[in-house]
Amino acid sequence: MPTVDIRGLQKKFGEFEAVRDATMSIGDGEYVSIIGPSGCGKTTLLRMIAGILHQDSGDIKFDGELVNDKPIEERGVGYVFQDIALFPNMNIWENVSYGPRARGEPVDHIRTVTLEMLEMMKLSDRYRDPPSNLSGGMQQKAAVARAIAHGSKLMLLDEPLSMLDAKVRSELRFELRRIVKDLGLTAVHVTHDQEEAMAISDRIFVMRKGVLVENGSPSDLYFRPTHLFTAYFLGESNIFTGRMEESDEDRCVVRIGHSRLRAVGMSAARESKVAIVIRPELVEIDGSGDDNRIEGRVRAKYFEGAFVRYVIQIGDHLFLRVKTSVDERELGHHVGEQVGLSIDRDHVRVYEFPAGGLNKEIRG
Amino acid sequence: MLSTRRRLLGFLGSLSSIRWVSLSVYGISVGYFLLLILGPATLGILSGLGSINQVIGDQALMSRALSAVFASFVLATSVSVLDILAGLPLAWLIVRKKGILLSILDALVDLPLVIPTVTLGFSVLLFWSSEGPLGFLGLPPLAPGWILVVLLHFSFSYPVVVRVLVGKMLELNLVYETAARTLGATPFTAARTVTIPLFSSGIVASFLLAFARSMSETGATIMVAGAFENGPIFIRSALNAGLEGPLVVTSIALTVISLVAFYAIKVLEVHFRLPFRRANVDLEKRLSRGLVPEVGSIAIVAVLLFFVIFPALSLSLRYAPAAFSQQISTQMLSGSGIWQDFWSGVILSYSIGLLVTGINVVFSMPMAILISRGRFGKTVSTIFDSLSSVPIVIPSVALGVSMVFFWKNLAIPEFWLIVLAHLSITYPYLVATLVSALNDIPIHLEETARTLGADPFTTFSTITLPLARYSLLSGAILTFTRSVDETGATLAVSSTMQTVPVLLVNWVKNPFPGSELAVGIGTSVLLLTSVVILLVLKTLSREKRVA
Amino acid sequence: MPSIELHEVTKRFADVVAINNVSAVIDDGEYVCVLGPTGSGKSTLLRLISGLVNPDGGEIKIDGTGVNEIPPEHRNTALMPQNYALFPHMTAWENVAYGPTSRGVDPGEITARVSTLLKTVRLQDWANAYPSQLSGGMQQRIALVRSLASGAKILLLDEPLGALDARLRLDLRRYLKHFAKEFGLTVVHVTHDQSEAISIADRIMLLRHGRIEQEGTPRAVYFTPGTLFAASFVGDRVLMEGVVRAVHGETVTVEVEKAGEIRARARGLREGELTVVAVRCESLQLAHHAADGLNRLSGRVAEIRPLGSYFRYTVELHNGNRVYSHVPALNALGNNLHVGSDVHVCFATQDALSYKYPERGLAKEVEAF
Repeated sequence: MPTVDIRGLQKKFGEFEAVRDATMSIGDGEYVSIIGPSGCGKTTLLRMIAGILHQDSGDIKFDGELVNDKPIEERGVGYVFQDIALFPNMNIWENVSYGPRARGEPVDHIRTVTLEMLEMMKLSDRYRDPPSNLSGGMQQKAAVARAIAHGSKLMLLDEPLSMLDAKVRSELRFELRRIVKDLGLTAVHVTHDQEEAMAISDRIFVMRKGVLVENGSPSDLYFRPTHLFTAYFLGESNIFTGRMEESDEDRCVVRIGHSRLRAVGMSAARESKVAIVIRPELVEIDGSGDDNRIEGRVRAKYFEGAFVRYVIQIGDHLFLRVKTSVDERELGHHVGEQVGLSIDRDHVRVYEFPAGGLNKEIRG
Repeated sequence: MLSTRRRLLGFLGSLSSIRWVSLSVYGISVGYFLLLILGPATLGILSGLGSINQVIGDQALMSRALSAVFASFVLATSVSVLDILAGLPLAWLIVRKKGILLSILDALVDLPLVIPTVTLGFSVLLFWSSEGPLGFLGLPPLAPGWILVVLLHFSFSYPVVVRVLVGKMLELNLVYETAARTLGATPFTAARTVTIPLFSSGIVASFLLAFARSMSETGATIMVAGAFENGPIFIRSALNAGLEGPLVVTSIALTVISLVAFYAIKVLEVHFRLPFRRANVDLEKRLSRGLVPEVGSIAIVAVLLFFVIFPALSLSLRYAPAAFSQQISTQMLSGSGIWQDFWSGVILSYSIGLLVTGINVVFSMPMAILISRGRFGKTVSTIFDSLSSVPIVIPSVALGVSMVFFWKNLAIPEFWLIVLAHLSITYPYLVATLVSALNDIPIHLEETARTLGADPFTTFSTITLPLARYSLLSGAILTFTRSVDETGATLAVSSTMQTVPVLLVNWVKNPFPGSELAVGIGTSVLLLTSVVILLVLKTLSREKRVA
Repeated sequence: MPSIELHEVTKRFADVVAINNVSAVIDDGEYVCVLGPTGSGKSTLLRLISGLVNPDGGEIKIDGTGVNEIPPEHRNTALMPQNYALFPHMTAWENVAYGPTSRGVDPGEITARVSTLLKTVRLQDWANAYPSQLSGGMQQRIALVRSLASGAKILLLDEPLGALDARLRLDLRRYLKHFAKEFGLTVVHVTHDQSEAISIADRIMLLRHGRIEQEGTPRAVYFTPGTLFAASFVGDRVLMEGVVRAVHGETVTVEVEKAGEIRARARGLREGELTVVAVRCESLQLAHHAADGLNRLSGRVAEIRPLGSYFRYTVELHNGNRVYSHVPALNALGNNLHVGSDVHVCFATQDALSYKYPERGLAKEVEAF
């Protein structure tokens, strides 16, 4: 049941710094995700933990023991690949039993453990099939079974669901969490899909351009992100440029265009430029809250299934995206309609304005 | 105003949109293949069936023919097995390890591939004779005989095997091996249970290639055979004696054995699986790291150097300097005496080569497209893919014999007979190269071009051809070299004309004063041209990787 | 006039029927999403429309003309595959110019067209770049204007957002729709992602095993799925098995095993029949006390997971089944439910859809992996 400790991990490919000074601690039995845009270094980090890539500097410890010099096969990790990587020359049984066989385990142990795994993944009746006969979701389940069967307690998952259909993805992610928790494993799951990370993690690490920016529980990161990039990358956000009017540690007042908003606390000089983040689903239309009440006009309306998205114009230049839950019978608000909005001050978050400008900070 | 060129291209383009036009293009290509390539190579021999009686009655002749065929088979099998056993570790080294030393090895391995086999034959003869290192070390030299034949066949098939293995290994997706390692398998276990089975098709392909080359090789084998007699040697004797019977029997026997062996191995590949119940962890761990692999690597490199590279190079080291001596060069350049034959042989070989390359490139392209793009369905593609490789399977001397019989009644001039034989022999290599190049171009690109408004011809000329041009050029160059190198079929087909390889073989078998020197110099000249060609190929392939 | 018409089109590959007797009409300027799981035949449909494959049966008409015999280069359609298929040996400019050049358009006209289009997508400075030098999003834009430049009025998109990061996918979704509307294009957009289809399509065609399972506006498909498969594929729903106890016109009373009776909307069900009731997760309201007139199932909160704009409450019903309720973030932050709370799961009869129990079993029918 390993804990994982990473300190100062560094990896360069030629001139390109893929991972810079990565430090993280993962507790025993924790399910952790690392999220970030493509190319941010998360897969490189995972491969270093597995031993597939060797770090330039820094330490990796499992249960307090240094594993820097251990080759892949001695680290005892289960790795699930993005492209599944079930051995095409073997059937499902041979795939799942590969680990124990390769480690020279006794024959009856091999049999028992493989049967158990197939049972757990509900693949017992497919054991004779070649991987190509199974659907994508089943193949990945078999790959997970294979990774666990060889007895490791640390699971490393590299974008395990990105090759699967959207529907299968949304179901399999909860399965993954359930299996890991039921078996008491520690898991590190890399993905660029923040919805996936929110659904399955105990804790999320946000990574950007080789650096671990922030980490916390899904709730904390979603509702109280410390970094602007996290606010952008996780979920959807309205991000505005504004000015600080009254600053305090507990509460602030900021100004966007001509609108004044009460916001959460942040220290900054008066009239300094700030970035203001408001999540679309945290704005109430016709709500009762008193912190911020604004008037606006509906400019666009989009049906999105479980939600309706509005674009509401406030004043001359401000466009706020608002998301509300939908009702089949209620028609909601029409385009052109005047509406009253209410936003809780805790849901107006303020950040230091990035030196290179908003676009650069967010899109890199 | 549109230029004439654009008008012409536009016209061809709009033609290609018409269904029956494109169908006829494929039809012509298939017809060319069946009537000029496959047909004569396989059916011709059947018309000679009548003369079999000559042989069947004669006990001695019959047993001699059969033992010759048997010898061919045993030779080819054992050499191919040796190739695989020694080739796998070397290919592994080249692909997995990095460093300058390995890049040098990589380039070296290619060298014997471009040396014409007659040159190789003479070179091997020299290397193992008393004038080579054996004599230098005071050891008894190897006289012409079966041992020398094995060494010769090993030296020209080994590089082919290594090349194919390296190519297939580079294509392998490493993720499987990595997955096996994460599951606890030592590098050795992962290699033998996952990686090697996954590229068993590469092993089989290289085995079959080596097997086919060994069965076919004639010129150099004749040089070093001494008393040893395999199929092609026996056929040559029969030719010289003017006996048709043994010719036909041996050719048919060789062809049948080759075809059976080929398809048996392919079937075996699908069903053969090495069982893997449990790994012997301690043993495999020791084989993965430390002393054992290191020593093994050195041993493999030693094998490469001493059994392949040095024998191949010994000729040029010995005779090349001589070519530059004043006296010899004036003789050569003035074309006096034997040198006249040599130069006309060179002109003959090269013009045949160019002709063959040109014709085959044009007519094989539609066939390659048919196979690669599967226009007429998967079954049709597979059928033509197999059929187009048949000329490789048939030993070249048997092929030549078959051609003679096929075209006998049409009184075709000798020159064109040779061209036809060479067309047959080089066709499979060209098609295989083209198919491989086409397979590398994602079909999406061509399909998108079509939906953007490009007709089939425009798509071909603006998308397919530019992307395949390096491979196409390599294929053409290989076709040319193969034609220039060809001995077996040429011997069977020609009576008065002498291409360079045929000439050199005759000089060795019918020596005259100064013939050894002449052969040495002649083969050196060939070697020089081949090195130039190798350099061109290498530059092309480097450019391809960059583009 | 309709842009694309399919009349009883069938396509077979070896012994697999990829498209099975499909008939559909797509109007000029419509943005249609063909939605379905992998293997449903969606890509084949695109290839049939573009002319890269020909149907074994039926007829395809484009702009009123039968095109069965017409090769791709003479149809008015442009196909964009998942990985964009930009020609690697040509610059961005040459890629975009490829269509009109192949069609023999006058070079002056081509230059004008290409530079205008590149400006439209703000990539005029990248005209001389090669595809390998462009980011995923940029490649997509070049591929889009390349299709446009060829003069095609029908755009066929094969999983156009599949190759992108989740974040980028959301951002670019809207862009595709906007692009199509601005240039008046008819679009057939293939995807396996139902949230993508719902948010941008004018109309959705749900494809399954080569047949159209349902077609309609996003609202229609989302709120009124015609079959159990459609109900499980579009949106997030809870499926409950039960037996029909009574039929009252448009509604039925269903007994859910050991959980009581609920009322649902139904068509053509009979008393005593086995049934599956589907309810959208966001229609399941959690409350301490049930309001009148609503269906009610009782249970205990087993897990609460914040998923961003909504929270997923896992409720273990008294009969052992698990249901999932999606509660909007604002509500969840304000309610006082926690793990272990006893709750009533309430939903309106209007929001419960009842279907005949599938012959081959529930798991197989909804293609549970």
